[in-house]
Amino acid sequence: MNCTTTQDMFSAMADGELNTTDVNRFENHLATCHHCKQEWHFFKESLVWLQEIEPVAAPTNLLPGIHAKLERTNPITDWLRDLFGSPLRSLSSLTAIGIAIFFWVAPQNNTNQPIKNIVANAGDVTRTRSPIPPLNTISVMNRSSRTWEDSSSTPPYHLLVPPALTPDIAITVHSTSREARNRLYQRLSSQNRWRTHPVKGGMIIYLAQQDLGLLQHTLAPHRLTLAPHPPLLNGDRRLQVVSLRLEAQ
Amino acid sequence: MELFSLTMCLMVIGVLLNSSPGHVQQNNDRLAETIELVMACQAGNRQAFNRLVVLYQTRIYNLALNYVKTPEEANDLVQDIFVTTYRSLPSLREPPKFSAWLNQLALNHCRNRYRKLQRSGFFTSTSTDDIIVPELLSSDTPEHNMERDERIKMVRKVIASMPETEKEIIILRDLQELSYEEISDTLGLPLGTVKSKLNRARHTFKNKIKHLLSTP
Repeated sequence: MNCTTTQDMFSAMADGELNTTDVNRFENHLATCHHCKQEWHFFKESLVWLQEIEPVAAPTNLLPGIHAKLERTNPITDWLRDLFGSPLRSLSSLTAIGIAIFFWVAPQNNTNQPIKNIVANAGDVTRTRSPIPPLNTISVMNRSSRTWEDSSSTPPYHLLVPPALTPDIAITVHSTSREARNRLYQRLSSQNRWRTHPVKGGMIIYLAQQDLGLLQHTLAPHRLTLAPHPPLLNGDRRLQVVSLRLEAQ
Repeated sequence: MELFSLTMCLMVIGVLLNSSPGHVQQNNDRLAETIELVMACQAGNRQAFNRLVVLYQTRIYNLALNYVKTPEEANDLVQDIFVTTYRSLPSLREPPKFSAWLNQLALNHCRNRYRKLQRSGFFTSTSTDDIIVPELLSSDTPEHNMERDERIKMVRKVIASMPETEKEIIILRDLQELSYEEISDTLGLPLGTVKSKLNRARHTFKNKIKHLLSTP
């Protein structure tokens, strides 16, 4: 083994990644090569110095600062601020913003309509002012028995995520009736184009706009209530949210 | 769909099997908690997001500190990173990969901020000698602290002077203590490349330290 090969192994040796044969070859070379021995000594010493840097505690005002920014700003203003950071780019940025606004505003106006339609046409729909409980505990859908397990101790590994899905609408469905929930879930699980997040007391369906008609068909046999809900995923401007309450039949 | 669920389960089982008791058990608990929090957060739960921030803030803050040098700038940068995290979480399809995804997102933010500050002349007015190191998590005797602070200042100075790609890999491995696999996921590099780049970066670091020590 020559000096280059030996020094290529320094990092692996320091991390304990070499097998017994390589360790022996490495040590045999060091025993005969003063230069490599010295380099290895410096290498180990510099790693000790490097690893001596202890983590610094994050500032205590970090979390409030994050929430303040979440309330205060939106992705577009952030983007504008970044763009105008350099005065040289201002002119081209203005043009780009103009084009972007044109393409952003146009589809936004169109997307509201299908959601109104689906709510109006899905099953037996009524309106309510009663609040919906927050979705804060994950529950798991048992894939074999098709029942909900409300234990929050088991991580929900059975998340259904079809590949290459780009959802632009989130429908939250709440229900106090486990039976109604299971029935709807069974119908939804036959659709592999949607992403369904089981959550305690309901589910969230992420789907692309073009599938609204299909969802309307799926929801038709169920009795639903359209209810107010605090904005969900409001950080993502492309995702519209509709909240439904599924009634026991 | 079935395949995805199976893959998710295999990934988690794989992590569990590759483990020995002790801190690996802690990692598994952290992974399980992270998955749960990510999914709750995707469902709009802000409390879950707060917990995620608490779990990962030290790692991300220290990463940022290596790029922007001052605690104020690092604080602002980390806030931006978590704001983007909150907004982008719905697009994360594999909650078990949250950690690597967050690292990647944080690295991109750090690189962009670094370049922006460099353009504005921030680093010429803020010498690496002026780096304000906030209170460390552990305490020691004042003499030992002074000596160590000097050494740490020198190490940070050397890291700051390294080429960007070498600096990144050193930070991820030796300061953030990520595994080779996590670095590979974060940087999108094959495992072999990570190992060879790390070896090269550590040699650069060693040579720079040697040079500094040999010059009066």
